[in-house]
Amino acid sequence: MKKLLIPVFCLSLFAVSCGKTEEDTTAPEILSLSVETNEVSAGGTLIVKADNKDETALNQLKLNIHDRFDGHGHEKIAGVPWEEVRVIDLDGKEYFVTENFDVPDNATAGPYHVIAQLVDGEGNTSDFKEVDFWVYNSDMALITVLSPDLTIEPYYAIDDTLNFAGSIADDEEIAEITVIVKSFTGTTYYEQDIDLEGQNITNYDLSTLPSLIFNESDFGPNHVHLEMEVIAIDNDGNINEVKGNLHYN
Amino acid sequence: MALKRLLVALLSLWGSVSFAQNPLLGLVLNEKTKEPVPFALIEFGHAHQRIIADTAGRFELNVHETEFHLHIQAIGYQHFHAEVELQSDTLVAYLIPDNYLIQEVTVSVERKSAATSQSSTTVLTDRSELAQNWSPSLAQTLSFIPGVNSINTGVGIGKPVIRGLSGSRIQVNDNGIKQEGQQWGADHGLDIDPFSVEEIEIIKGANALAYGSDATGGILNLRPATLPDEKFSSSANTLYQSVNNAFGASASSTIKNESTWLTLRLSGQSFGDYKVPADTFIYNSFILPIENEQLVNTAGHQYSGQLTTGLSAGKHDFSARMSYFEQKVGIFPGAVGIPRAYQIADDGDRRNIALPFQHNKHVRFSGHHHYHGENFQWITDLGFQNNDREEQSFPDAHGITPDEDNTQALALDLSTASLNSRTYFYSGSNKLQVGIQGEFQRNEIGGFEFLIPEYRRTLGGLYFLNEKSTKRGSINFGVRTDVVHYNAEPFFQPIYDIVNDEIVPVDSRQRSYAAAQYNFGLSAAFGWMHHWSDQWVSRMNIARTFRAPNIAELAANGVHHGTFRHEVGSWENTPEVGYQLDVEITHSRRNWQFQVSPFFNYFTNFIFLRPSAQFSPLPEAGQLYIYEQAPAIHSGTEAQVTWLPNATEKVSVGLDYIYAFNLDENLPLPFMPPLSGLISWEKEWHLHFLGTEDWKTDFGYRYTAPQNNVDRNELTTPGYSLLHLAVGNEWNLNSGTLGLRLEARNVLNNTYLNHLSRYRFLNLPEPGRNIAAQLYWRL
Repeated sequence: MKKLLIPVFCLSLFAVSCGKTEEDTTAPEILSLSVETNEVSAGGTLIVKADNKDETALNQLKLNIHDRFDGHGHEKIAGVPWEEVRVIDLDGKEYFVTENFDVPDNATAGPYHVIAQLVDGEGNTSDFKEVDFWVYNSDMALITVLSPDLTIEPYYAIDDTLNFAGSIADDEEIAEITVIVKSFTGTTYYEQDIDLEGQNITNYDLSTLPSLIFNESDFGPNHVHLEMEVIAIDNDGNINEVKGNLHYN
Repeated sequence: MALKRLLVALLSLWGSVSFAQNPLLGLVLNEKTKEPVPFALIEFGHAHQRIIADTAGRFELNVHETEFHLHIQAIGYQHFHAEVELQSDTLVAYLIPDNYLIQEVTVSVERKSAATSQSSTTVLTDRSELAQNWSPSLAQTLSFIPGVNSINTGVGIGKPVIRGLSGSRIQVNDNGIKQEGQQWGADHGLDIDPFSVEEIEIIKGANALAYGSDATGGILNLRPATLPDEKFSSSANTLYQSVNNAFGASASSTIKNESTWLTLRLSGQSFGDYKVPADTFIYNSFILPIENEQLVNTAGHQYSGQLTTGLSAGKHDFSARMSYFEQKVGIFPGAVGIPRAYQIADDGDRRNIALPFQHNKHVRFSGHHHYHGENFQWITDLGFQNNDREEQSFPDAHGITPDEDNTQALALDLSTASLNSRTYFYSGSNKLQVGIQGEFQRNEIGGFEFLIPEYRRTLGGLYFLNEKSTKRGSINFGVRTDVVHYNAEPFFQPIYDIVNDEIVPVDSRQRSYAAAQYNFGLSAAFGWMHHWSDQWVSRMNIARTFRAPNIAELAANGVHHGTFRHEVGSWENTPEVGYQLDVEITHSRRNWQFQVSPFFNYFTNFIFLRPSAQFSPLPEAGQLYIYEQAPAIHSGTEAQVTWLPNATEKVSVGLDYIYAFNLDENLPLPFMPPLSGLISWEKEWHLHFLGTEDWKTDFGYRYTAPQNNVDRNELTTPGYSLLHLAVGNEWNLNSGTLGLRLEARNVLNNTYLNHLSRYRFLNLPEPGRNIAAQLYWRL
């Protein structure tokens, strides 16, 4: 009954410090979350590492592997995206976890992430932590970008014209192609969304894309650091992406 | 305070003349309405003896003089002085009502429902007061009353909270029948058209024995309006709100003759995404955009209709009511799972309702019979209702539905048949109420997610409540027994996979087991109301309450959309037993009143969701939250001061505070509202403008303190202030009365977080500045 006495005495209207608890309400923390390599192939292994800590006692770590295809330019999730949940028991105040995941052979290629969350012995949960990775497989469309030459981070002057060159090839069919050129601050200067679903196209020539002219009126007088993304989705939903940097002025 | 000459003398014509030894029987009446003035203070004679009239305005004087000075006073009336020349042994004094509004402020004895004890802490409000605080959800509309709050999911969905308690701890009676709409769910709103509410009696805390055993937090009793005198009456309301481009309209008509009447009401509302005064919010250390400062997919609409008819035949009154309510409200996409920037991008349409959304329908049929006997009343209510809820969204995970286009996430179909019958026996100053209640309920489920199983529930209750008027108040005592029986079905959730290019079930997960629970419980209450003088009134209640666990507390096993928590019930949970004490003290003067209502509850085994140290194995869920029980203390108070400096102004200050924690861990109970205060000033101006005078203005300032008393994993919420202004008036035209009210809420466009919002965990701010206009008309 001793426990009851203290709260009963706390019943003044403005009791604030009364009822102060020695219970642990401090959330545990995932100090770091990483993947050994952020590109894995279907049939391969994804190695996830997490460094976890808590004030009193860690209890579990939940790793959730999920696709992040939505927001990558298509509506329906075709194919068989890889989804896996693993709950790992922990103990102690600090625990370093290394977990191996077998990437399924039939996993759809594309962008994925690992979402991790911790819970301690009292039930306090940590914030989520995420790390992104890509799954590649042999079915996905292959992208070759010749112009611009993204390996050298090319510079373009005012009024230059960028003529795209390269190709996208797939065994079965290319369903959708997206080409974006945008700045790191989020401004999109060039975007082409090409829907090829049902047209049985297995080869796409990038030179058919409209050219990008570096007008001063669009880009301004100053230097802009740009990012180019070419995304190709095949009829099975496999997503492949090539990214690179270029500069204006 | 002029000396009033003897209206009393007129009555000397009655009865025989007798003197002195016999007690003088007196009666105090309202001069205008001829209704009794209860608890009037009577002072008489040289010795200035004082007595107080009873609930029927009656008093007895033992006087030895034939001439004496009589002074009577009562709140809301002008003082009465008279030099009495005794000429009979009965005396009637007519008190003239004051122009001041304080009468309306005092909850008068007559206005409480017959089933409500005089000792209970009750607030009465009606349509005109609700219209001053209008919001699409009824629960939100009521939150201007100290001690009353609402848990909101966006703007259209709200559930009532009384003293921090909600869900199945609050019972809503709609015209005699308990509203059954899966109220255990925190994002399950009250499916009642706010336009249809005529009068509400809000009973806070214990001593609601006559209404049900569950309602340990309180009761919202929606009562029908008294019928107008005219053969035909009609009214219409329209309104507009800028914060979400909301349009609403409601129209009602009543026809009546000698013994029958018919009322029809139709209402509709449509609102768009609501504006907030922020263009980003932070969740899990990510800064996410709020495009155009509008929360995408928070639009909605609702339609409803009620048809009521009645018949009086001698000692019998009958009425029947049919009502329909339908609502479709969008859920902010970021609230389902972890919010991503692409999900919450502006979809270009402010009014569309896209996935995810809630779609609810509620149908009710009810019948009412009232028999007026000699010293006896018998009232029976019979009802049937169906609550059909649906949550629509894309499946979060693969393998839970064979059809990738299926978006019916959860469907709950609840049918309930209810019967209440009670009798009132009057004898002398005693009123004995005996009642029985019964309910049969069946729940069916659908959708690719699982939360609660299919079940049948039977409730039965029997109670006795005796109220005795004393010289200065009343005492009541009641006992109630309840039986509650739940019977739930097992459920196996299929798991699908692609086999030979076809999606087929390959396995299943058992989400619920066949189970039953039978409970028998006892509740009791004692209440005492006393008028210490014409200025001081105290009300006190002590009760033992019993609440059987609801279906979620017993058998939940799933992720509730928008919480990311996997909630799990347990058939081991036992009924919640509570010991409650509440007190209300009112001090009234001629033009001001002070009221304070502290309460203290001790629950031996309070049921609440506790975060466990385990994660859910389900992919779309985080932690397991388990319905556990622990002893808990739930206490707090409301306080209110109302001042009428003159006949055209009213100032009131209200405050409410809760202090609740579980005794197991000394951690606060979750989802409790913080300390909050509201100052309001109403004034009627003698100002001739736009063809009418008496423009009314309203000024409101609400301060809500930070909520730092939180449970584990619950976010604290900073404090905030809100300013509201309104102006309105009415025009008396040949074709009826036309009214206009213009309002600005959150005038300063403050960015604030509401601790009781379902979107709080995303750090989403509440609606910004809102300009509202109401145009109403009545015949």
